[in-house]
Amino acid sequence: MTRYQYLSRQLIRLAMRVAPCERQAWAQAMSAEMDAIPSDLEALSWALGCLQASCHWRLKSMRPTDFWLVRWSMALWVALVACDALAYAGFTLNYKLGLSTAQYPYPLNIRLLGVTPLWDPILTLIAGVMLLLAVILIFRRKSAALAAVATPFVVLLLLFAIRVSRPESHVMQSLSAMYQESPFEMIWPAAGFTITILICFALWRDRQTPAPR
Amino acid sequence: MTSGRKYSRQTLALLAALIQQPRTWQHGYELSKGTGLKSGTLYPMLIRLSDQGLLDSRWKDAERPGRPPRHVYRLTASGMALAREQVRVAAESGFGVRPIKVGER
Repeated sequence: MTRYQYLSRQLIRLAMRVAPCERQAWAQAMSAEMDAIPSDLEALSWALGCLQASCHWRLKSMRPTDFWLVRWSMALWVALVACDALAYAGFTLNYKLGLSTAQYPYPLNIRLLGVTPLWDPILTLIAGVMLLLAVILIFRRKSAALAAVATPFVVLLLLFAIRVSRPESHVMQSLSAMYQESPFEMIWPAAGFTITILICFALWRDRQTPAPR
Repeated sequence: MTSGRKYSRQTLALLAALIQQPRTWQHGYELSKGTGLKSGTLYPMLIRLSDQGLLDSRWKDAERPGRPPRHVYRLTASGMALAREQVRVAAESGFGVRPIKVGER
């Protein structure tokens, strides 16, 4: 056996191992052709092509949540967004309903709280609870995780848009570059938005890809 | 009648190779030689055509004993109709269908 033949055999063996279960018959078909190839170099090129095809099938069959690190990172981010929503809902409801007798600790926010309707923190509370539920669904790799993340995310974005659209709330001014210590501070909300969109995309991709066998 | 779907030049080359001998079962290596397609391009295309119900495949015992059986392919009836139509459209548009040269995209 020449060096090329040995290398071709090893590559084909690797291609068969890399190919997902549902493509094993096709990997076998590619491998069976090797014996019919007269030239060693051609066989090597064929084997490389087989490995390329197997890698392509493997990547296509993989789901983002197959990796525990991806799953944990997604869940952690969604949990952070949930905590943020719940904290906002808690503070606002506390103020609106007068639940606490202690003085409100953030006097600068009182103008905003004054014009905020009661349904705003209630909807935020529901969105926060849904996001917490989404964390469990992400860990359990349920297809409902996409809806559990996307729906409250859209609700939170709409609520934010409504808050911004009220000139008396001064939210727009507080977001403008003039009020930022550094213009780069706006990177964080933009990054947060992008991360959540990416998580929704990954969960959608998860739903599109059949579960590995 | 046209299917409305646009196929890549590689797929057209494969369809043209398959339609040349519509009743004959062809091996992957033969198709690769006939079309100039590498195995890494050819097999994903064969799978796609097979998934769309345009291609039939089966295992055929090797001519020489001791060799593994080989996978062979031929177009289904709907595959033949589509291939004829696509090859005709490509010919009418002036591009024609020819084997892919090495390094050509």
